[in-house]
Amino acid sequence: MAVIRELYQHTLRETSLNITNSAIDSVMKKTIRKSGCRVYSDGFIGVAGTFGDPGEKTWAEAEERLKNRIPYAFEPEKNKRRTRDLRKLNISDEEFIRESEDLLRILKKEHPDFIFSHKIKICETEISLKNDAGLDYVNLDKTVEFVLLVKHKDSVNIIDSGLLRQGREFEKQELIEDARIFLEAFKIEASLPQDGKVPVIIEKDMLLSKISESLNSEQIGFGTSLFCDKINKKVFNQNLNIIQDRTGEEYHTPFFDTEGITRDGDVCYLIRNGIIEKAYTDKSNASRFSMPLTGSASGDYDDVPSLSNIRLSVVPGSKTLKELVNGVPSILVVMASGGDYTASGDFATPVQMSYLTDGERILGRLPEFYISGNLYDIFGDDFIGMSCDKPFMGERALVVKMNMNS
Amino acid sequence: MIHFPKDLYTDIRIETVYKTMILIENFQLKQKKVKEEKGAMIRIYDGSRWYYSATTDISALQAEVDKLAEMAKPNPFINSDPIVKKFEVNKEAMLKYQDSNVSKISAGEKQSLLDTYVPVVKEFPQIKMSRIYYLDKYTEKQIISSKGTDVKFDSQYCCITVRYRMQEGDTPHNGSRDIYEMEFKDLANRQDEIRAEINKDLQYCTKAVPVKPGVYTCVLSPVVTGVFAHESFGHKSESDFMVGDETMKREWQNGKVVGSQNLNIVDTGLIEGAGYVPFDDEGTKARTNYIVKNGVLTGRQHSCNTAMAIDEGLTGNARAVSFEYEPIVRMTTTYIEAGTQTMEELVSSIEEGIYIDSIKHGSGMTTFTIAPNRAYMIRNGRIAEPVRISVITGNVMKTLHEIDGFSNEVELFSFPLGGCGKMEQFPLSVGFGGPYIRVNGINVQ
Repeated sequence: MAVIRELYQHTLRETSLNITNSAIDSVMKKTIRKSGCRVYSDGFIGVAGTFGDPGEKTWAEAEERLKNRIPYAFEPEKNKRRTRDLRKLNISDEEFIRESEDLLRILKKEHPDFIFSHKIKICETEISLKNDAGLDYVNLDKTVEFVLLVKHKDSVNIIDSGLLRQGREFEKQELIEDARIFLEAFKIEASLPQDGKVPVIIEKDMLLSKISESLNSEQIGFGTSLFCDKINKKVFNQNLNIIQDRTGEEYHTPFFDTEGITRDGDVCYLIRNGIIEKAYTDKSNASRFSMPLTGSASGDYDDVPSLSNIRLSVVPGSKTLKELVNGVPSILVVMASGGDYTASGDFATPVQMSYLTDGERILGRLPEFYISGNLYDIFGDDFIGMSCDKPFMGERALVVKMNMNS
Repeated sequence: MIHFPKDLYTDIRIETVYKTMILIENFQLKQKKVKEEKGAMIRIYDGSRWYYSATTDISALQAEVDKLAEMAKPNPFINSDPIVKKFEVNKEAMLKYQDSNVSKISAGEKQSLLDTYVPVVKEFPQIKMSRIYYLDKYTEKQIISSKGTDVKFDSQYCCITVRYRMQEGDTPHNGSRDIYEMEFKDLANRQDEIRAEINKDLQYCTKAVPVKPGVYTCVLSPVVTGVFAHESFGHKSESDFMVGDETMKREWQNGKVVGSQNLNIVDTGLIEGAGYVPFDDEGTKARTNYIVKNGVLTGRQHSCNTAMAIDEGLTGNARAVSFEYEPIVRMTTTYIEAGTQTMEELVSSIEEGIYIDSIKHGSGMTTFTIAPNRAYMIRNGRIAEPVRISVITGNVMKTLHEIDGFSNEVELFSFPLGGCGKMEQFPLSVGFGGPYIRVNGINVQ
C-alpha cells in the first residue's frame, strides 16, 4: 500500500467572560490549534501531534513512528469532500462584552436577592480531516454558552441553582426569561410528591451512560456487556429510539468520526422502537466482530483512532412536555451530582436541586431527595418520552418515572 | 526578555510538558505517543478587570502581551492595588527532577517495562478486556511577573496503570490498579500488586449481591477517606465561593466547629505526587495549611484575589489544569490525619455496617457522594459478604460530626488518569488520602 498522509486538526477560538459576584471580572481569549499527523503504510499507522500547523518535522516524526508497527489494517477514506458550516453568530468581542454587561445589569436589577457567577463564552470550532487520497471534511460551529451559577444571598450553599443555555445565537432575552421563571419559583418552597414512582425530567447523559457502555461493540464482542444476548431483541419501551447524532442538533460535533466515516443524514440508529439494533463500532471492532460500521471512532487529536463510549441521543417524540406530563406533578432536576449505576444496571443519585412542574409552569423549589431505578425499567415501562419542544433553558425534556424517596 | 506594559500588572506562565503514553489494548500495541507541548498563559490586570490570553506561539509572547494590553486601561496606581500588593515576589529555581527526568529515558525502554506486566493480566481468563498503560509526564513551569517574580520549577510522575473488565456469571465488573511513582526505576517488579488486585476483584464480582438500601455505619479505606475528604470538605474550603458573599463569610468564619474533635484535614502542595505544587500558578510558594484542626475550621484555600477579598493570607492554591486556563482556587494534596486505632478495632464494634474498599468516583457540594467499586457488609464486627452499591451519600456538615474513629496510619494516593473537576477545568492532578475512618449515618443506595 502506498504511504498516505492524513491531517486531523482541531481549532478552538474562544472569548470567555468570567463572572464573579454578578459582574464580569475577567476576559479570556484563546486560539488553540492542535494538529495530528497520520501516516498509513503497509497495514500500520504512525501518528505525531503538534500545536499549531504541522511542519515537515511533525510529518517526519509520524513516519518514524511507523516503526512502532501499530497495526491499522484499513484504508483511509478517499475522494470525499464536504464542508458543513453551522455558524450563525456574528458579534464582535466588544459587542459581546457590552451585551453581557447589560444582561448582568438586568439580572441584578430584576433579581436582587441572587448572586450570579461563572461564565458566558463564545466558542468557535473548526474540526477537519484531510488526506492526500482526496478526503476533505471540515465542520465549523460557533455557539454562545451561558453557564451562570446562582446563589441566594441568604443561602449557605455554594450553589443553589443554575441558568444554563447554549445556542448558535446570543439568546439574551431567552436567558432573562429563564431567570424570571426559575428564580421566582426558587422563592416558593414546594412539597415533594409522595414517595414512590414519579415523573422525573432529567438530563439525558446521566441516565444514558449505562446504555452507552453496554452498546460498545468491544464490550459486546468480548462478552462483557449487559446487552450481549439482547441484540435484535425488544428490551425497552416501544417508543424509545436511541441514536448517535451528528446532525446540527448537537453542538461542536463533526459529521464525521475520527476515521472519516459518515452516516446518511448524519444519524445512526442503535435502538429502534425499543429493539437493540446494533452496537456502535469503529473500523477495527466492526471488522473483528463482523458488525455494521457506525462511524463511532474517537480519540485525542494525536491518537490512533479508537473506540470509547460515545454520547447518545434520545429521538424526540411527537408530544410536548406538557402533553407528556399530562398534568401529573413532576420533578424537573437541575442538579443531581454524583449518581451512578451498579454493574447490573441499578441507578441511584441524590438530587441536590429541583423544581416541581406541571409540564408548563414551574411551581416551586423542592428539598433534596433521592431517585433510583433499574435501567430496564427506566427505559422500559417507566419511559414516558422525549419532548418535541424545548420548554425550559432551550433543551428538550427527557421524562421517565423513577423511584423517589426523601 | 519580556517588556511588561506600563501601568498594568502582568504575569506570564510558560509551561513545557513532556509526556509519554503507551497503551497495550487487549494484548496488542494500540498507542505509543511521545510528545512535548509548550504554551503560555498571559494575565494582565488594570485594577478593575483581568485580561487573559492562552497561546502556543511562545516565540511571539511579546506581541501577545502587547495585544492583550490594548484591551486594558492603564492605571498609574496599579502597584497600590490591593490585589497586586498581595502577590508574593519569589525568585527561585526548584528543578528537582533533572537527574531522574523521564524524558531522558527511551520509549523502547518504557515499552519493555510495560511488556513485563502483560503476562500478569494474561494469567486470568476471566478478564475479557484489558488496557495496560505506561504513562509519564515531566512538566517545567516558569512564572514571571511585572512585580518581579521569576520562579522556575519542575514536577514529574511515571506509572503503570492496568484497567480491566472481567466477567464471572452474568454481571461484568471493572477493575484497575495504578503503580504511581516519581522515578522510572521504581516501576519495576511490582507484578504482585497487580495480581493481588485482580484476585480481590475476582473474589468480589463472583459473590457480590445488591445491597439493601438504608442508613449504615461505614468504614472507609484510606483511598475512600481521601476522596471523602476531598469531596466533603476540600471543595467547601475553596474560598472563591465566599467572595462578595456576606452570608458565606459569616457562615465560614474560622473558629467554627465543623466536625468531630479528632478531625484534622490538611491541604499542602509540598508532598511529592499528583498534588505537588511547589509554587502555584500565580507564583505563590507552597505551605502546609490546616483546613480543620481538632474539628474546628482553621483555614481555607486561596488565590491572591480571594485572599485579598477575604483579608486572609496566601495559601498556594491558585491552580489551572494547563496553560489554556486561568488559575482558580483548587486543592493540592488533601488528607485527613491519622488517629490511634487499628482498622480491626474500627470494624470490631459494628454489628451491621458496610466497608467501602475502593471507588469509581465522588462528588461534593452540600451533599457528598461516593460511587463505590468494591464494598462489603460488616457483620458482628467482621468483614462479610461483598455488596453492589450505586452510591453512598451524606450531608457534608452533618457527616463530619459523625466520624468517630481514625486508624493509626495515613496512606496517600495519586491517580494518573482522571483527577479533580471544577466546572470546565478537568482533570486537575491532586493528591489525597488518610487513614481508615468510621462514619455513622451514611445513606447507602
